[in-house]
Amino acid sequence: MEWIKIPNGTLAQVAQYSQQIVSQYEGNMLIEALPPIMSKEEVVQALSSYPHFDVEERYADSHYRFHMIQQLLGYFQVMPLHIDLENRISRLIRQGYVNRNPIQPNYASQMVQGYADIQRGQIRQNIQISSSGLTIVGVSGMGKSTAINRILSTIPQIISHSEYNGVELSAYEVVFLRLECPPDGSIRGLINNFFVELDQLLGTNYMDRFGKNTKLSAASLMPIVAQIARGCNLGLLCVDEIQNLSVAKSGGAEKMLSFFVTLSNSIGLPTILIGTPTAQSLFSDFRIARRGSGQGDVAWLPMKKSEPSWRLFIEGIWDHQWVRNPTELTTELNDTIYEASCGITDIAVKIFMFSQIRAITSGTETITPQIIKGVVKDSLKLVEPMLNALRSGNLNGIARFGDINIAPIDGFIAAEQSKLDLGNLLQTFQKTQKEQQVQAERLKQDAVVRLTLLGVPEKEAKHNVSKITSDMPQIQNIQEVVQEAYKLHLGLIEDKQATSKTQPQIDDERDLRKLVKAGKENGFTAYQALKDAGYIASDFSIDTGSELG
Amino acid sequence: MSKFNYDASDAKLQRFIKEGRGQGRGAEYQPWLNVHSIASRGRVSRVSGWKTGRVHHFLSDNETRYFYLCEWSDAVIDIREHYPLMDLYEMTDILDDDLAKKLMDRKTGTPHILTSTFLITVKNDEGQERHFARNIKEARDFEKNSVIERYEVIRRYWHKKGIPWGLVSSSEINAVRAKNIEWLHAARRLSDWGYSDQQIAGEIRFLMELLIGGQGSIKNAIERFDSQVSGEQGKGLLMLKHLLAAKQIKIDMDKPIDLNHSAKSIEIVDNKGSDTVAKISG
Repeated sequence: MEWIKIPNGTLAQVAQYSQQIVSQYEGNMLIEALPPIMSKEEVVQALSSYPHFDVEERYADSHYRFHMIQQLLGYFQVMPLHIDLENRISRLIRQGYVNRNPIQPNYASQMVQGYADIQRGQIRQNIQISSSGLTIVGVSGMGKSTAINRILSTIPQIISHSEYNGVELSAYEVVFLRLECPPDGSIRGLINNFFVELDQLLGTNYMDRFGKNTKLSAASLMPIVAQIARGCNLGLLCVDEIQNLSVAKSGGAEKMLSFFVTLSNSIGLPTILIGTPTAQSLFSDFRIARRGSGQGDVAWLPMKKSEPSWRLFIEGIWDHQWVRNPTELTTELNDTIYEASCGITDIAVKIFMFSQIRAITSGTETITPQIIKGVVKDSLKLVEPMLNALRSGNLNGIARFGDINIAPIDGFIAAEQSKLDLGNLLQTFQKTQKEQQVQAERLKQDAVVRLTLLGVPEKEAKHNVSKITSDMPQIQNIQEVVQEAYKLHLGLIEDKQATSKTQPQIDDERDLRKLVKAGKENGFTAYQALKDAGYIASDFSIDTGSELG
Repeated sequence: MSKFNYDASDAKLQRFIKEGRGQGRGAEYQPWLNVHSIASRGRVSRVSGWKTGRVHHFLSDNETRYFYLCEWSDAVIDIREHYPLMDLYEMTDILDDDLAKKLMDRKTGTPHILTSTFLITVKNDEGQERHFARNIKEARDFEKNSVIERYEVIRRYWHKKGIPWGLVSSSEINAVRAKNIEWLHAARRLSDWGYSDQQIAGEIRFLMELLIGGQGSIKNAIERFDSQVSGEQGKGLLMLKHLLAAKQIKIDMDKPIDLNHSAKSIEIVDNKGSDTVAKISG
């Protein structure tokens, strides 16, 4: 495999043409340059991803194991659905290229047509070309995007063509392009994403030329996008988060859908639309819009417990236990984790991770149904309503929660870790506190002994010492305690009663509030009233002038 | 994040008490508030005090000026700024319900610690110590009910303690004199400037002679001192400030000090005596 660096862009694979078995694909350089069509076994091989695991790692310190457990986020178990999906995508790309062969005359006429469209600012429908596409609907967390990404990663994204059958040429083949629907659902935002993605791949400057040109409306940008897609031989457009369209500004969803339809129909570009059930209504509209072309839809439902996929998934992941006492997957454990996750892979993975972490921090070092339940109770509050909707089987309910982002993992680990630290801390704290108490008790006893030596009766000495230690906790030194307690004995420390005897009566007539109020009634400022009452102090004042003032 | 946390919390209170704030006197005293603990509404300053030998914290120019006036007064022997009325909570009998409400944070129930801006200790001619307390505030703030209520609590507190208390606004502060004191304040201890007393005793005498016999302005005397004796620019001015700060010479402190004035405006003080006694009112 040879690679070539595109200036300012990424690496492109230098085209190597292979003999095609399917006769429809023969003689098409765009298809012949693609990797060979994979068998089922090859798909499984290419898509699977398991974390690195070694039994020895179970004996690593807990803080290392937290990191190892983190690897489970990369766990990908290939299921029948994935194989089916790979097959469809593989077909989609090739079928899309069938009608676009650079060495066929209609390829050039399409380009000319595209130019005319740009001039007119409108795409003329070309009904001869049948388009194809795929829509994927599934609850958040089922791994739709992950699956698509893994499948697409088996295909080179850019292929560079410089010679085909002795004919010199200069062309790129962008096999696929992944876009995310902008959260505001605007067409311009999506088109700009298109430009930015292509600019990054090919080192072009479409964003500067078209995206930033405010004179061009979204409608007039569409023929440009179509022409660019033609020019770079785009094989597949994949638009994720399509449910954003449903919350779009008025008209956004319809316009965007008609844009996709136009794109598919005019240049035969296959599109994959991915979304949560929130987008269900959109998809039905979309299907009507593309009526007549045989399309496939994939509904990505949560797994059933009896399904072999679930068994495959949970048994695969169960091998990755970093706890010291790993357990077999019992029916009880399987049921517990299924009940908690409702068969949603992302949640199941996280529950499994969290349970391991808790098993480690709690010291039990083994995953039990109790631990799983505890973890679910503590950390899946956010997704609880969604799971309840799933349990009830109410699809509308599920749709409402389609976009919930699944439990954040970082916070959980931090919280568990701090629990661990806090446990140690509390122990140390308790220990020192006990020591301090013992010390304080000893101090008191010693002080009492010294006081009795000074001739203070023991009863009084005890009383005085406890009074001093409670009144003046800052005194830690035995000498000081004895001194103060002795002073108390001699009556040197005046009790509060002494001061209260001489306490001047509260002179309510001098109350500042009354003075200020009375002053105001007579038209004086608060300052003047206070001054007249003698509360404004004039020490070191300007009035006095002299030093003696 | 804001530097200052205004929320009264038990933890903060306990930290303050643990740090020993508001306790001790002289060099040991630590103000309840310092320039770090509260947002100033004016200009903060920290000044190393003559009387206490510690750094004082002030949150406004008025506080700083009042401090300088205290520093200048020979009767004053200790200055405690931002003095917390800690034992106020033991005398709630002096408060009516309205005032008692002012003592707690309404949300958290944490006690508010009221402070007097200054607790000044003076020594009278018989050598007896007496205290007086002051709160510094802008006159316009007296119009606020909340301010007056707070001061009524403080008034009752000091009244019960038998310590005179009063309010000071900017009108009661002689700003010219305070500025003059500020100008010479740092020159009191020459060791701060790297000079020992013996080392410069002769030079000081010479500067005094120049000032007494001087025909021209104070400035002329200083310039002659610098060129003839020290050879260092600025040393003469420092010595002049020192003589004023140590009250070995005297100048009218209630007028802006102008070095272009005749040297005759300076008086030599023979015997250092307590010629400044604060009048204590309240």
